[in-house]
Amino acid sequence: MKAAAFAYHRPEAVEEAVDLLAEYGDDAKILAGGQSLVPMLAMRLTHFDNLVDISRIVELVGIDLDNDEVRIGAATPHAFVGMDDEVADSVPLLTLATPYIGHFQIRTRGTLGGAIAHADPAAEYAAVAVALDAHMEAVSPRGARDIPANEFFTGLWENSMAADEILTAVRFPVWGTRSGFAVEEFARRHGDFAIAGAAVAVELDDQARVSRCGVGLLGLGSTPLRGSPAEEAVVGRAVGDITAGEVGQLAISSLDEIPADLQGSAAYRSKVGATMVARAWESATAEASNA
Amino acid sequence: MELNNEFRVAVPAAKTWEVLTDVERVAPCLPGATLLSVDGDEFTGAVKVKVGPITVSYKGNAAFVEKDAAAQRVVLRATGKETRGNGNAAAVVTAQLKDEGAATSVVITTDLTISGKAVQFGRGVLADVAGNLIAQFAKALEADILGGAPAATTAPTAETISAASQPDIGDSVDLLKVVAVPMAKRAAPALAALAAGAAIGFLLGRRNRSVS
Amino acid sequence: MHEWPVKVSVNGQPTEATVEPRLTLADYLREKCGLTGTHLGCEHGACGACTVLVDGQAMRSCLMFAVQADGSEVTTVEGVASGDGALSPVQAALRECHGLQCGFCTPGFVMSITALLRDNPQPTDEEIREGLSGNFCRCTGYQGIVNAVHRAAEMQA
Repeated sequence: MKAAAFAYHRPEAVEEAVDLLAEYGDDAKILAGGQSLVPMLAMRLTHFDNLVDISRIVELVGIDLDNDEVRIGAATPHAFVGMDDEVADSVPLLTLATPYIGHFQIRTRGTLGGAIAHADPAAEYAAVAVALDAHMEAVSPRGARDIPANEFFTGLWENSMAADEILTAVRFPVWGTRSGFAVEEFARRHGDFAIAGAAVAVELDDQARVSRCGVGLLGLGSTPLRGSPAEEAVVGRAVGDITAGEVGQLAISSLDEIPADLQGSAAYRSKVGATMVARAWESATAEASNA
Repeated sequence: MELNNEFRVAVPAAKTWEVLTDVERVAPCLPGATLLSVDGDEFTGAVKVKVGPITVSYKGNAAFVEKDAAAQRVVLRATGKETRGNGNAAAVVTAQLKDEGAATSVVITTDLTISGKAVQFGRGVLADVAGNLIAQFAKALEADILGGAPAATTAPTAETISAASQPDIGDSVDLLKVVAVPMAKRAAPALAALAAGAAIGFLLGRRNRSVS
Repeated sequence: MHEWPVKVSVNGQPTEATVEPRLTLADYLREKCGLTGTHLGCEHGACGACTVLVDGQAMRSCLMFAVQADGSEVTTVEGVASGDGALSPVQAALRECHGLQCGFCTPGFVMSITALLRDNPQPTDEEIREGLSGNFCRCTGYQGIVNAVHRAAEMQA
């Protein structure tokens, strides 16, 4: 199982990478950590004549807290995101999601931008991006643009970037101090793709009522999704007003394309999904209440 | 591991000595550091530093073990634990001042032992971090001594090392770019420390055992 | 397609070759460097038998191309014992605790455990099992391996 031959390019700057993509079009693919792409190449599920390696472009690796956002360079490895104390303080949902991503040897190489651009429906960081309304920064020959998370994931392994666009960074908002966060995921073996999972963020006002809530769902559709009915139902209510079970049920209530495969039927997945949301809701609200 | 750094300040040795052994003046010059308590020659603190692309926070304590005015030598011992994570850091920092008339050169030798997150980045990155910290520290120290102007906290290019704010020094606070760590101003008794060394002590080092 | 010159320091020794970009780091180590300790179990990143340290970090060498390791320092299982051949604590512990049978998965475990213990010198059972979840063993049932990690931690404490 060896990859078919390809030409390798190692640009040193984003502009160079953009130019290469523009030049080669469909015959080129961005290579960052390679933890998703290389297995596909090795198993010959896909092939590209040109690989553009951006993993060493310095400007694409970095984690910066800037006012109320954490900006993470697209080529930043998961391990760094998971280890970073500023992320842990400001966007804990990322820190909580990180251990669920594959195995530690994958996290030392796989990148946040790669995972998000790859747009797997069970990708942890993608669910976090959706739950928190993150912003993706993309660059093309036409310049730079900002894509909000709710517009970014368009289908199975598809994102809304143009073929000649490169994801350069993702900005995650920092929530207030009375917030709680939790990620719950279920897979048969540790590190497998989740059968279903949830990333929940909740913020309380000074009367312990929910002022905002983000529920990101993974493994429950062809893209990471939001549990909007649950979010809408809880805002303005006291935490004790609604049970975790109800929140879980609401979160999955509007899903209509729950996958069914060898790992489980749609009914099974939705049950697991509801439970993951319920558990995450419980943890997140407990944390927010004690904050 | 041993790290060697050096810096110069355009200030006579006597004055440099005086300030360097005054913790309250020195701690604010150390990027990313917060002083938590002081007790004579011992103090506790927290520090946040960027090692490679990640920010690591440590909390710990340090103490002066030697302040030899005649030999112009200060030795500080510091230990710290990662705030999030299970790494440790320990350092013995020796600063040797050299009188150069209107200026002072300070040679810092740090004997470091570290475990945890920071180790992954290897000696090269850690030495870079040390170098950056000390350079920032030196600039801040010089600025502090020379005129009560706040430390120039132009963070080095890629790394946005948290800058320590300069409490109650004049009015030029707007020149400071205070990033991340709030500098808890402590009306604490003089903390004489090579705070740079302390931070390095907190942050840098590696277990001396052989590690693959 | 075009070949690339690659320079990699392997176990402290400089190596270089001109290779096809599609040559994985695992194959570079095995074929160009003659270091066959790094094993190919699945070649798609699941089994962990190919684990090596690249610039100190454990990575799956079958999921990296050699050209991507240009300029890096790689440590393989052959580089873990000390110069005079004395087994590292991790290796000694695996032997002592029966943490291997056929030995095929073992190099991957040695590298993963070495990295694990460096970052977390006193791991709990759960942390060990979670940390090693990316390495598969068909022979041992893992208990001996987990014991070996505790033992190695003890030896290194």
